[in-house]
Parts: sequence; C-alpha cells; structure tokens
Amino acid sequence: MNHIPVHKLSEYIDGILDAQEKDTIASHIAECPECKQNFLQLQKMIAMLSSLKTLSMPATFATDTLARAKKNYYHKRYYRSLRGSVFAAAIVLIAIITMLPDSIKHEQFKNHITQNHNNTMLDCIIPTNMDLNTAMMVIQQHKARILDFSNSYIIVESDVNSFSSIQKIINNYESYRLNTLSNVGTTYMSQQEKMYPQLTHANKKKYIFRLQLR
Amino acid sequence: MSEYSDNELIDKVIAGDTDAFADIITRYQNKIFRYVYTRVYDYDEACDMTQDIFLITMESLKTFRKESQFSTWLFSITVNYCKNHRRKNRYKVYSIHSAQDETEIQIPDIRQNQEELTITNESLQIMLEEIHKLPDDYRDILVLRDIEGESYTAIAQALNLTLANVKVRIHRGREMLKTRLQQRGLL
Repeated sequence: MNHIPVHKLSEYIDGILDAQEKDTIASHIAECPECKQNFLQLQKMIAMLSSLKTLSMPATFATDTLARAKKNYYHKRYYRSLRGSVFAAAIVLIAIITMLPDSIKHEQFKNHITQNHNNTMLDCIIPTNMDLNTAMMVIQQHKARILDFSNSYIIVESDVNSFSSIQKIINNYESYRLNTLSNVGTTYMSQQEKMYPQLTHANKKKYIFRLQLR
Repeated sequence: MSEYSDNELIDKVIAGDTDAFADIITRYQNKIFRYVYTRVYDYDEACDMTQDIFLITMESLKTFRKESQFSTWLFSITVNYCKNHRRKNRYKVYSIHSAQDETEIQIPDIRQNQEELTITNESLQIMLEEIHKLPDDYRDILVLRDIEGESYTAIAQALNLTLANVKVRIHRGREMLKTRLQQRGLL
C-alpha cells in the first residue's frame, strides 16, 4: 500500500480536498499506522501553532502608541508653522549680508589690494629672487596668512614677529645668491631699495606686504 | 472594541478624530505583533517595531485608496517595514537565550497540573524558536495560516502570491517545521 504524502495530509487537515479524496485518506489513515502517526504529528503541530495566537502585547499599547502618534503630529505641525518664519529670517539675513560695508567683505578687500597698483594698503614691497614654491614654503613656516598670489607676487599678512623673520630669511637668501652669482658673472635681478616699515608690537598690528617674485 | 468598520474608522481619523486610531490599533496590534515577534524573536524589539508600524500607518492613512482591505494594506506595510528593518540591522546578533529569559509572553493556561504547564511553556518556546529559524517565505505563510487562521485566498492576497504558490509553501513550511520539531523531540 502506498503511503499518503505529507502535503496531502496537510490539505486533508485544512479541509480543501474533495469528498472522494477525503474518504480515501480517512480510510487509509484508519488502516496504516505510519500514515496515522504522520497525520497525528501534523495535527499536533498545527494545534500548537494555533495556540500561539494568544501571544499578546501590553494592555496599554494602544494608548501609548496613540500618545506618541499625537506627539509626532503636533511636533510636525509646530515645525511646519516655523517654516514661514525661518524663510523670512533667511531673506533678512541675505539682505543684511548684501548691504554690508565693502570694507568688511574679504573679496572686495582682496581685489582692492591686488588691483591698486599704488599699493596704499601695503606696508611694504619686498623684491626677491625666490620662486613661488620656496616663497610659499617660507610663508607657511611662519604661519603668515596669504591674501592673494600669482606667479609674480604673493600678498601676505603677518604679525610683527613673522614679518621680521620672513624679512631676515629673504635678506639672507638674496645675499647668498648675490655672492654665488657674482662669482660666475651672471646677471641677477637688480636690488631694489627696500623700504621697510618701522616695526611695532603695539595693538598686535598686522603687516601686509607684497613679495615681488622674480 | 468599536463597532465601526475599518474604513469608517479611517475616515474619522482623516477627518481629525485621531482618537479613533486607538480602535484600529486595538483591532490589529496582536496580529501585527505576532508576525513581527516570530521574525525578530525579541519581545521588546517586537513591541517597538509594532509601534513604529502603527505610527507609519497613521501618517500614511491619507494614501490608503480603499481598493483592498485595510488589513491587507496594513500587512503589506508590516512586511516592508520588517524587510527594511532587517536590512538596517543585518549585522545585529540576536541572543536567543536572553530573548527567552526576558520574554513575558502570555501562553494559554491549558494545564491539568503544574508539570503539564511547564511542558507546555517549554514546548511553545521551542516552537517559537523553530518558527523564527524558518526561511522567511515559509515562516510568513505559517504565521498567517496556522497562527492567525487566515484562508488561502486571504494569504495569497496579503503576500501577493498565487493560490498554487500558497499551497506549496504551506505544505513545504509545515514539513520543514515538523522535521525540525521531531529533531527537538517535540513530536
């Protein structure tokens, strides 16, 4: 006698077979101990599964969840109401920034320095034969601030200590170069007269100077 | 519990009566919880996830077009939420033992004596553990069919499957679970 496959027993338990199949399986189970055991095991398992339907949540779950939902709802409504004010504040801020005096806008300040050939903003101009990379390295080592640069100049802002230190390095560099080049008879950049400002520590003054590169 | 239908309650919530949502929660909380719990097998986490699912549902109520039953729609939100949750927490390791220790599940009191109650609790814990370990396809379908008692048609609609597919998965799932429970000495 062929045994009944488990999927048929499963369908039999669920009651989805036609009457003829049901009768066949019922009479087979009555006669075959193996299929009967399979059937009983399956039935027991399904009964145990259905008993898990009593798994439940805390009694206060619905009220807790609703309270949280309401809180979320009011938060969202509050932030939505703020949206208009934030937008207005942003507009006002932009307007204020646009109307700021030119003197405190960095870009305009920078342009003023670089475009003004009279260099009235500069404390001094230091001509040097250094190349751009070397000059940059010297400036960075002294933690001075580079305001602008190109292949031919660097505009630097520094405190008095950095300024004097950079100035010394450049002087040493130029003297060394002058000695070396004069030995081989090569022409070099004419030494311009350097008009150094009177250095002071007063009011933590910042010096703005231009390194005129070769 | 409220006498209103799901759709009537939804209309009330959308109209501003948020308290009506409490009835929807009460109606479906345990069903959603059981589904989530068998997936994560951690009581506290399942409670938190169930709460999140209802919050999402409440926020999305306006998008419910009433083309299907509310329960089907809610169940699809639940399935998607659980999938996303697992993707986000794929590296998290769930401790089965701690979950068992901390879980305060309510198990039916069918005891004749104290000894029988102990066996029942143990058996059901093993049962839960084994369901949790089943592949998603089989676990989802057994939860709906054998725990919730849903019809084949309702399951097909909820999981977006054909009837034939539902039948096959139910039988395979049961067979797999039966084998595992036999190995654990429960059958």
